Amino acid sequence: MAETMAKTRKTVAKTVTIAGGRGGALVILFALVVAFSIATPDFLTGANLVNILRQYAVLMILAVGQTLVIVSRGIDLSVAATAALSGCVMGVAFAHWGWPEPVALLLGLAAGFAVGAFNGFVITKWSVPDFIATLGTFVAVRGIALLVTGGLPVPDYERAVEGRTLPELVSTLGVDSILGIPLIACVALACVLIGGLILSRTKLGRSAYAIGGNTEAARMSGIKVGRSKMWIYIISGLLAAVGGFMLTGRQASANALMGEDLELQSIAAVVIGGTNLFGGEGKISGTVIGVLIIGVLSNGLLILGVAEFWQRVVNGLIIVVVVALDQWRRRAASA
Amino acid sequence: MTASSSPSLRVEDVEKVYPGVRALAGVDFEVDPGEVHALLGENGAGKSTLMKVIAGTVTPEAGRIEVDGKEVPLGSPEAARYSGIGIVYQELSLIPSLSVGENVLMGRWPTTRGGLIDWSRLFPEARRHLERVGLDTEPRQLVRALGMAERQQVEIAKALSTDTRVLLLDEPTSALSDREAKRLFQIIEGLKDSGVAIVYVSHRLTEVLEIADRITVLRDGVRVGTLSAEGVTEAQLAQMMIGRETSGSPEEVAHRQQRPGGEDEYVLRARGLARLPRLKPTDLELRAGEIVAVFGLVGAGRTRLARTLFGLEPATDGSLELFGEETRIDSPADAVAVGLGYLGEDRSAGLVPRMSVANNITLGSLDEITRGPILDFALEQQVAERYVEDLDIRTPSLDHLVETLSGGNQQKVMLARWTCSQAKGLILDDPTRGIDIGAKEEVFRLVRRLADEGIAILYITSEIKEARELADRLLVMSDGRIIKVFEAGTSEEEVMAAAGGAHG
Repeated sequence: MAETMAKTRKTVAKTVTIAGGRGGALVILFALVVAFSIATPDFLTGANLVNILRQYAVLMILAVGQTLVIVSRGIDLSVAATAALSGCVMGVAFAHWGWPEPVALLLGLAAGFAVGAFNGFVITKWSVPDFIATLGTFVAVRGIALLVTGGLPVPDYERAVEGRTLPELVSTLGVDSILGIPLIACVALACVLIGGLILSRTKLGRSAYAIGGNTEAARMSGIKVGRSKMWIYIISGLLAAVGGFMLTGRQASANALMGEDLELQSIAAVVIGGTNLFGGEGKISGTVIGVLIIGVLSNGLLILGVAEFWQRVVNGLIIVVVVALDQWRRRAASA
Repeated sequence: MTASSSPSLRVEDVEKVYPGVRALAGVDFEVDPGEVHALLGENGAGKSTLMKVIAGTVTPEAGRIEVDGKEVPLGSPEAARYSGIGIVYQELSLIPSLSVGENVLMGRWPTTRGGLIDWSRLFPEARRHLERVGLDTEPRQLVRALGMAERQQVEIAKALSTDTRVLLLDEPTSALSDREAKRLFQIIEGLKDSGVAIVYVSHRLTEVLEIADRITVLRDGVRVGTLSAEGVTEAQLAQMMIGRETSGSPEEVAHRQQRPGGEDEYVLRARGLARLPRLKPTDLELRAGEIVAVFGLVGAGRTRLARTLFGLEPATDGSLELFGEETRIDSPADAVAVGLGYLGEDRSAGLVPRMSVANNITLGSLDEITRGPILDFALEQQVAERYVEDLDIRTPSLDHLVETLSGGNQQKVMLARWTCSQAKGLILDDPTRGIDIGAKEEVFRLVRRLADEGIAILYITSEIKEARELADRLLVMSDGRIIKVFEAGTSEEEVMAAAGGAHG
């Protein structure tokens, strides 16, 4: 009797696990796609799906870095600001200062590296909580981007060197497609693969799980906690820089305030994808699904003609609902 | 108070199944008013589960619980409390930043008609409850300012404050010194006299024999037997708990003293190592294959010494040599790099609970399982499997989360981590704390084996018996310094006298 009950319970828990965590996010994604396909003929078209990929590629790139950070029990509120700064620095260096393309790109990446390193430094050396440290850089970095650009879009044709707009690589990757697939989506895929490799198959990734799961245990087993966190924030900064380039390329312009809200959306995507906000658990594959859920939902609602203000409300609620489901699954599995 | 007529607590036929484990299989259990009924058993025997079932925090598959003849709804902590069941957990549940009084009456603070907290009633009421457990602390004081023993008394006062008929105590002495434990027993005696029924969970036989009226032994979720504490010996109980004769008596151990060679191969030599004010300049030598026990009373600086050696609290002074080379250890990473391993008092501090057994084992040797920049999973599994077999870690699989293992097996995972990282020196800080006899013996055996394999072991303990059983040399610490070094075979009395003497 008791055994049968236990078995039933186990089966239920298993089903919920599949329908709950990362698998659950997949189910929700699938349900959304089906629902929108039924609701409007305009959703499930090649053009629209490509459109989603194009629009949410940047979020995908930032969310990969965010996953690494959150798995190690951190949070990076500065990713969107860093993306904007990197895009602006790169654009200003190339168009306004007339520097060669590779140097401009490296400078943009260096900006991302610097913000990540600064975050890591403040967090590990000065013991400032992750949330506060990156909240500070979030604000400050937007300020730096405004200083760099003078508050104007880049390239600004009055200040640009004759004939300079944006590096060709950036424009090409941001806009062009190959065999119907946007290159920007390919860049995002590359970031996903690299991020996934780092998280699941490198010492740094394993350290991230250990630090997130039990920082003290990680330290006691000889893991250099400070150095690992430093590198994780740097990777997040570098990915933000790449995201900033792609955003700039797609819009054919950079500005200091671009990518607003992306830091929050990236956190939402990570959490929707089943990563534990308190660290130690999570996967890049989950984050991919999380980004797609956000993308499909916004896109579908837009096609259905739901007003943008309502979209925000729905986007917010979906975070709460998915995480609530996840918590319920965890309880069911451990009961 | 006629004991046999109506028990305060009656538990009937409780069944609890976890995935893959039957935690409780039809357990019956009774406690009379004014009785101390001890629950004994190894880790994983079902003691804690039974406690949680009674307290309502775990819902059993089947069973029935009565308090004073009235049935208690299962699986509801509120219902259990309302029915007169109070519980004091091993990890206390007080809020350090609130006052003692607020904690005692947690959630049931008296209010004024306006709905504000009525401090003029709260503190006197709390004081009444505190007096019952013999604690004359000012209820306005913050819990943060109290010591472990006092906090526990507050916790007991809190558990009793709701007209409690049945008090559950889960390993109540695990964080207490001997003197504090004695005091606790006095309090328990007092509660007995007032007719409270007490369930006392422990794995310390001596203490159970001292305090309990009746003893119920659990093993693998089954009640092995219930007997009167009078006329029972420790050996009998131990045998009931583990289901076989215990081995590893001191006499047997005494044969082990000779070690293969390496007499002068120093693994570690400290000169004047200090972290003032708690660790005074200390000299220490550890040879390969040697077990050196460090004994001292609580607060003697034993743990400080361990943490300093491992870089958790870097030394402020002195020098350290490893394998004849001058080294500085400023962080655990430094210590691991030179071949040291550390196993702390608190097991949970060293393990990543939601990582697999395999991942926890290899956490100290990630470099060895990395090929280029990439972790070699196949190699990792291989390595982990070897140590799981070697140390006989009982786990359903390598991929099981380490948090699902029993305390003893978790301890072995920690040992596996350090053998896996090829540590040459191990610092073990009270490794048998909170684990039961069977597991303890196994840890002893492992420690000896590791020493025989040439690892130098610094074994920190608060139990003289353990120290004498294991060690080649015995250091006695007091007041932050090593005050005496004994060779193996010194009598308990001598050691104790040295440890306590300095305290005067």
